[in-house]
Amino acid sequence: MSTDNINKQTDNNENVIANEKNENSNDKKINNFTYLLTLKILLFLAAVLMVIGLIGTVGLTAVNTHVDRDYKYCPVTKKEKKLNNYKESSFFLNDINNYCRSVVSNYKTNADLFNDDVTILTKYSYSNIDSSKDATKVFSTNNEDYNLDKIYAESENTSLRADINSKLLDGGDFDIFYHELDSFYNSKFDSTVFNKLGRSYLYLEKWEYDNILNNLISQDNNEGFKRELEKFDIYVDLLNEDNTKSYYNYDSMRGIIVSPGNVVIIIDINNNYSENNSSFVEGDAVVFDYSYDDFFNRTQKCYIPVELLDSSSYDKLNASIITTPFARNMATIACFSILGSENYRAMNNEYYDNSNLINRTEYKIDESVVATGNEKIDFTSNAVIYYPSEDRFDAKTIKTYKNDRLREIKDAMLSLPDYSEDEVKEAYSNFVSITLEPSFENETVFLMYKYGDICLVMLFAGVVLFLILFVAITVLEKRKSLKTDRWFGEFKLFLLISLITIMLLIGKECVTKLYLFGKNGYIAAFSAFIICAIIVFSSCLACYLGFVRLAKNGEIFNYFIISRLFIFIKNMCREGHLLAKDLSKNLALGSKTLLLIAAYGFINCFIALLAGVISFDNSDGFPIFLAFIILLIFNIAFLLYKWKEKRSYDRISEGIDRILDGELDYKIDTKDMPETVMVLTEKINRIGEGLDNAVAASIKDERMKAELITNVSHDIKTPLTSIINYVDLIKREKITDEPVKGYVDVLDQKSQRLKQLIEDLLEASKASTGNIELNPTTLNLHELISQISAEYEDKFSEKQLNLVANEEEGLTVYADGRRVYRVIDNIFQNAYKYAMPNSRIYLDTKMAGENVSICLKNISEAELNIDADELLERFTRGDSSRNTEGNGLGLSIASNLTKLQNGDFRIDLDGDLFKVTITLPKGR
Amino acid sequence: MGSILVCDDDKEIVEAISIYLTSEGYDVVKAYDGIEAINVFKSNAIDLILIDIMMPKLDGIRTIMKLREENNVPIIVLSAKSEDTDKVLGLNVGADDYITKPFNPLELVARVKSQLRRYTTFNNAPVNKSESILSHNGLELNDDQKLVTLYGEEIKLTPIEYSIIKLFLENPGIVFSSSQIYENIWDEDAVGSDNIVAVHIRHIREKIEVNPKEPRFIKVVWGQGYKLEI
Repeated sequence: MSTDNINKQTDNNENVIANEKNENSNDKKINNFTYLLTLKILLFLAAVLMVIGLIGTVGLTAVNTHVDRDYKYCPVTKKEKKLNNYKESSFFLNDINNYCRSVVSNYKTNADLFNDDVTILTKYSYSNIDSSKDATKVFSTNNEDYNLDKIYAESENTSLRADINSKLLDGGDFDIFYHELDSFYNSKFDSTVFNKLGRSYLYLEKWEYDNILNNLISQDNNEGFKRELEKFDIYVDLLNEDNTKSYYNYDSMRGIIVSPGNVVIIIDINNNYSENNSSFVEGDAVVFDYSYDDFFNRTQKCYIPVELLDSSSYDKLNASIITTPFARNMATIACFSILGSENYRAMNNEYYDNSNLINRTEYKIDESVVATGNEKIDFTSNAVIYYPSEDRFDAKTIKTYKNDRLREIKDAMLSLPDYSEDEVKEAYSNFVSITLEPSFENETVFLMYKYGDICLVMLFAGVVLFLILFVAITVLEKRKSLKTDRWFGEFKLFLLISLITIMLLIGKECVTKLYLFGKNGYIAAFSAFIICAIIVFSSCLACYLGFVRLAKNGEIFNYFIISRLFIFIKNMCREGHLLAKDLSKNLALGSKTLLLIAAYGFINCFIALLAGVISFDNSDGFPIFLAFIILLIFNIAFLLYKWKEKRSYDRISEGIDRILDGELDYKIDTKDMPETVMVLTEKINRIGEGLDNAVAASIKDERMKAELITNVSHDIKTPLTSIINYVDLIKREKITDEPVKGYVDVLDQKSQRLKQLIEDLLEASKASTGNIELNPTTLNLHELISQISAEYEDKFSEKQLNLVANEEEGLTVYADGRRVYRVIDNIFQNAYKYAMPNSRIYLDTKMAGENVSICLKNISEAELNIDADELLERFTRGDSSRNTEGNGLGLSIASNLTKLQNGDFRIDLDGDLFKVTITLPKGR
Repeated sequence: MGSILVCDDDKEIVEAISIYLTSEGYDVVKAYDGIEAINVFKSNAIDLILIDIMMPKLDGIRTIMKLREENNVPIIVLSAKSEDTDKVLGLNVGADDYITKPFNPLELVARVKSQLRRYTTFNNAPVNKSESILSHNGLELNDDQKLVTLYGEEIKLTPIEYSIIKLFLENPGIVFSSSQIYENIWDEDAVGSDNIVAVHIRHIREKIEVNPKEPRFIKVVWGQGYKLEI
């Protein structure tokens, strides 16, 4: 009892423990879930951190570029380099200065030119006008308005150019060629300007100007030409849409400097020139205060400051104060603070807006200065400094920047020989400052600049965190079966990539365009973007984890169409390999079907190949070649299919053979069969079933018959017992009456015969239905035969039969001893009953392959006018008269028993020779 | 000598058996179905029972089972059922022997004797046997006198037959092949012994068995040899 209690207690304890375990596992599950969810959220946060960091860092780079150029305080090293560049290029500045002076002095002598007729040679090949037709049209409308003397308008630019050149070189009068420049210029371009100016302009494209200069230099006697040129103010359109590199321009500028006349360099910078397609790459040159508007509306012109010093460095921009020396009114020197294109654009915008334009007066040169010509440049109100508004940058930065700029200007001015330090100082003090408000677009960038370092930290932290969490989640993820996932991997990937792309596009729009809606719009868009990002991120993660789970389960390869395709191709290759093997095997055997299939396939492929080869020469060959490839693939597939079908048929044939051989429950394997063949196969299998059923029914009948026989035998046996017993009792009585004694003997004999008959009948019915339990073992055949022959020794000698045994040594059979005894006993008995007296009986035993054969031969006493098979039937006897002792069951029983033991029982009759051959499996 | 209960639903058979047994000196008590057999058995001192299987009211098998609950009197089944399974069933439920109909009256008597002898030998005074006496189910061999007796009757044997019986009695239940027997008895190699042994054994059986075709002492193990049935 006590032990039981203890057991119960321990049981209870175990139960409790088990329950706790369950709870624990539940808790664990929940914990795991929260754990994973937390991890995933953290992963997202890390991703956000990373992205913000990335944007910030990239932005920082951008800001660095911007600010470095525009706002940022230049580091010392850069400054030094800048100064060096000045020195290197000083010759050029000097050239300019010298030339300026010479021009200014010439100005007086050529003053009469002012009053000449207006002759304008306009730019004629402005690239914005695409067709000559348009050009002509524009030209003709403008013809009268401008009261031009003569107009050349030709469609071919080259011929026109040649014409101009020839005119130039001939030294003849120049007509005015006027072309529309573009809509903007055109609107500002009116005749009054020209009239007012009353001057001659030669408007050239750079290339033409180059030609003129070349001519000028190459001709020895070029005084006349020079003179002609000097009649004009030459306007050179330096910047056009040809891919002119800035150093070409540089060369041109040098040419300009040495050329006679007054040259105005026009550099078109407007919104049409984006930084990329302009000849002047950003930072190459900076042009200010230039527009046609400005140019033609003012009596005094501000000329074009050009950065010519070094085409490769934008650093020059910051320090270049360019004097524009190319006109008679050379005295006007505009002094500019050079700013980056950003500022320039801002400036332009203001122009267009007509809003708070940079005060133009600052550019205007007093006309009196122009008139006197040799006066020094009045810097007061001619210089502008642009700088960013203070609320974007801290005061210190701006102050530094401002000071730097001023110092640069000062230095530059001081390098000009005509100004004393005082003058410079004065000018310096009069610089005007303009605050530039950066656009909202830039504002973000500024902010990023401001927090750039934090962004970098965020980026690194984000990347590290992301990687750690990513690995953790990957490792923690569980297995998963493919069954729950019906979609192909590619489809998912495609969806995801589309999602990401769309999101990125939206994101880009948000960043680049939505600033137009202002800060609030931007924030709204950004929030939307974040929501999108969360969705996309979750989908990405879910998809990825799905892949991970599948990979852990080892099913990832089934998940992708590509890998399935790969497996399919692999299978095809395997099939092909099998086919080749089968082919080689079957060809040797001469399998006609396979040969035909193969021949069909090869001929088809050959034709396809032929077509392919022919088509390859054809220029339109590709589609045909493609068709060839498709045909080839189709043929191979068909060949494989046919072969598969053939294999199926082979299997069916084999199956039918086996069914024919009596293996009725044999089922042909329908695996891997083509569907049509499979249907056929299933039907064949059903035939087998039907046969099987029929056979089973017939066996059942046989059994019932056997049962009947058994029952009847029992019923006969009981009265027979009495008969035998009472006959025996009669015999015991001392019968003296001889006839009665004879009758009793007959009774005795026949009752015994009846007894034997019943027993044989029972045995025969059991043997024929197989209703016998067998216990096979390995038997010594010699032993068995001697045991039986011993029984028959007397019987044989009684009929003078001589048994001649011819036994092979050491034979064994695998059979049930009692049954084999029955078999051999029966054939011995048969021999005893039917053999011709005084003859020999031959017994031979020998190996026959895997079996042992026992053969008994004797000469029949009666004539054997009967079929061998009939002898095996029940109740058939060699002598149709049925006079002998036998009942005709012996051989039937022997035959059936032999067959039950996987043996064979055969009777051959040759005349009177009766031969029984029994084969039994050899011993194990 | 002993009283025997004969039970069969066929009265003629009971009558015939009773004649045989009475002539051998046994008292015979008759019954015609299982219940009657049990009742008769209870009210008489019975030394042996002969019983049929297929009987009305209570069949032989159940009757044997009923009888065996209390008694171990020798029971011989006498049945028309000759299947192996029937025999096995009968012996398993407690019968000591099984005789199929139609039977040889002599065999029946011999078996009855055998069972009775065994029963009395085992249950009553053990026979005081010298070492030179080998005995098995009524077959006795006295090596001193070179004498073999079956149920006390002397059997005339040749020296070789005697040696073979001695070999089997010394090793009951062991299967000897012909060549082994030959080597043992003739003491030479069994080359070309042919069926000498088999013939001798047949002769022995003819002498000691009631029915040589169904030997009770020296049995044939087909294809392997011979053994003394335990």
